[in-house]
Amino acid sequence: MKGKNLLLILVLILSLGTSVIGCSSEKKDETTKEVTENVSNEKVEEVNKEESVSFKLAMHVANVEQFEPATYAIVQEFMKENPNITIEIEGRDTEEHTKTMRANVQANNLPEVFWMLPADAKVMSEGGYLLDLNEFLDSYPEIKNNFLPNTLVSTNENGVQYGLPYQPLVTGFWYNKAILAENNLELPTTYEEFVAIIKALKDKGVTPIAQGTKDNYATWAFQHFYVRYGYYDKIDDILSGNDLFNNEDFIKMYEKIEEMSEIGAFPDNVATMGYFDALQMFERGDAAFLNAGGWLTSQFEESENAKNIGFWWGPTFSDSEYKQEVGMKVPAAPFVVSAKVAEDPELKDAVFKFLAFYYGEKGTQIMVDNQILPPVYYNGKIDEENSPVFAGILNKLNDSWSSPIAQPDLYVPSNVADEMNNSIMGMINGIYTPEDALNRIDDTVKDTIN
Amino acid sequence: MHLFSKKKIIILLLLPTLIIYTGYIILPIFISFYYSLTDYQGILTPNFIGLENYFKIFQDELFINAIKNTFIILVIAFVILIPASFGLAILLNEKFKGMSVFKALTFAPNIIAPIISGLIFVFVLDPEIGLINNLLDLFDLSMLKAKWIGGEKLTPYSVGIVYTWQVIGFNAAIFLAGLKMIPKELYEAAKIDGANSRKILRYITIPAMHETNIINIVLVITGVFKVFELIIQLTNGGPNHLSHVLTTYMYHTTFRVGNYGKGMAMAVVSFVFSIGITLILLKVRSRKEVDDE
Repeated sequence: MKGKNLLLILVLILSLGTSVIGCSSEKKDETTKEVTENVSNEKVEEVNKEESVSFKLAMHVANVEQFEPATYAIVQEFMKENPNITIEIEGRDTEEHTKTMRANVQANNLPEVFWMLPADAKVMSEGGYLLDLNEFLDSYPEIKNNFLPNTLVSTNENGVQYGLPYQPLVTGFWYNKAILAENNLELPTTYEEFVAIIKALKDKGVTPIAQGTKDNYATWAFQHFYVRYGYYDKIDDILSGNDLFNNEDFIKMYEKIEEMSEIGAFPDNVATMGYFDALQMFERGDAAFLNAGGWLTSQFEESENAKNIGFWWGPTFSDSEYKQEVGMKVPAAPFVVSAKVAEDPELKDAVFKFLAFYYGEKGTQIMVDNQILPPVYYNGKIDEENSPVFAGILNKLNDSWSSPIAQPDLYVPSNVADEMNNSIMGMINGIYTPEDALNRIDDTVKDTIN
Repeated sequence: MHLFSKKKIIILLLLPTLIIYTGYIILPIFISFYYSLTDYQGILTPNFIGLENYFKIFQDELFINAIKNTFIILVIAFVILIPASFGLAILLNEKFKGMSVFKALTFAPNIIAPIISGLIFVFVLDPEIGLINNLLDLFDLSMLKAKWIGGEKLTPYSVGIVYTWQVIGFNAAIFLAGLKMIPKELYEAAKIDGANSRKILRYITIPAMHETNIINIVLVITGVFKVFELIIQLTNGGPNHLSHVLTTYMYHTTFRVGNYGKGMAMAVVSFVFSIGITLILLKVRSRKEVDDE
């Protein structure tokens, strides 16, 4: 009897063990299949000869294939061309990604290449956690010289190039040409013309600007206002405690947003609308303008309304003495590389190869094919008939308007940036006066300096 | 022969739970407290700054506002949720046709994820697209329209009501379990003695539910201090952070602004409030019971 029981237990253990081993080997087979599915047969032999290298690329979207198709396609194409290099893509939504990277710094467990918010990247670089990419840029001078103007400046601190722009950040107002035409209106240039259009649209029952304030970050088009009121002539003094946000120029700027709110530029339920609600409102044709940026290009291109969608840098201001022909063609949050990569020459070489591919001709072409604006000059041609939205925004990217070095809220510490965005939202919601709003930012700056 | 004494076996059996509880509950509390005494920004080494974060948060008008909003929800929970769930439990304790369907319906909101409840109530409370204001328009009562969410004042009240809707079934289920435990003989004896329903409720049901009341009070307090998804979904703390409660403002400060030290100070204060209020209420109740006896 005892022997029977023992036999039963043995059989049970064996069957469990076999199934576990079976599952794991099946999984291993699947993983191997996934990794090698893009590797051509001829190159498999080469893989065996060369030593294989693998590294992680961590992105700020939950599903990289779906939400960052260009980056995903570039990685796949790169692995096809470099079968001895495997890139493992990790994706988390922005907030989760940022939290994870911060935690990884503490655990000294950063992925080799990752997307990071500029302010955090700067702090990580100061702490010695990021690789100085000057070596990469010096190794690939043709790539270094092909970056759009200013795109490398914001991630360079005291000569250390701690990041490279993964895409340019092109922001402003999308507009619906059909709505303007139906109401006999033309795209404005000045703020006064913009106000006249807002009033005209409001009178006809059309929501002028699709905007929500539930998502604090959705202030892109208004960041131009800062620049056109002399932000970059003041901000260093402000951050060092020698000037204030509450100054004559920014008061004028905030009065403009206040006026826009008062004349009904925004939806009535602006406080309960988020960015995606605003986007839907614009896509439905229920609003004439949308405050957003270039990342919507492919989405708009696929819509039936593509030919009616245009892009605008926003209004110019006659009461400002600062340069007005400025468009936000700035680097988006950068790709950064963990300093640990330098410890392994083969790994470093693989990472540099990937970066060269990403910013090189092939990577750029994949971005363009996916209707993503590249952070480097693109000399190819765009089919304006089939890609009117992309052609339109690419023309804006290449126009004669200059660009600041960074989007204003990406130039300051994250708590100041948050308060800048909050203050703009407060003006849109009609909760703050211009003085209140600007004093709040000054309080945060003061807190940060201290 | 016993390999272990009874005491040793008890300790051995409790040990895994104690280790997990210490690791996941007790330790994080101490870690939070430690970070609350530093200038930790989420990256690099934290520097010890003493109680500075605590001074800062009590000077932060939005934090004070978040405390106020949390207490508004707590008051609504005490004034509406506890009596209503008790009333519902008494109703559920009766026998009538369709009782099981009624029970399922009252408990249903509790099994819906709070983020979904929040989404549902956006379509009810939104000042523009919401059901309430549109119904008021329909019945020519536009003067009663209000910004139930998204305004500067009403959001915490609306959240309190939605929270009540969400957990009333759960609290009622606990009350119902308490009601079922009261011996029927007590009611029969009271009826024979000529007690009416009000007196039965006052002198038998409520006193006999002492333990259940305590459980529900603790659950309501801790529940209110954990309200998070509802706010995120309904207003995301807006407009301009005015509808934040302690949890959401702490999350905002910690993870969105990146001020971990200050955020952890808020977490500690929230924890102290939650524990403190629970202990005070329990103390008051037990003193009242001693007086009654």
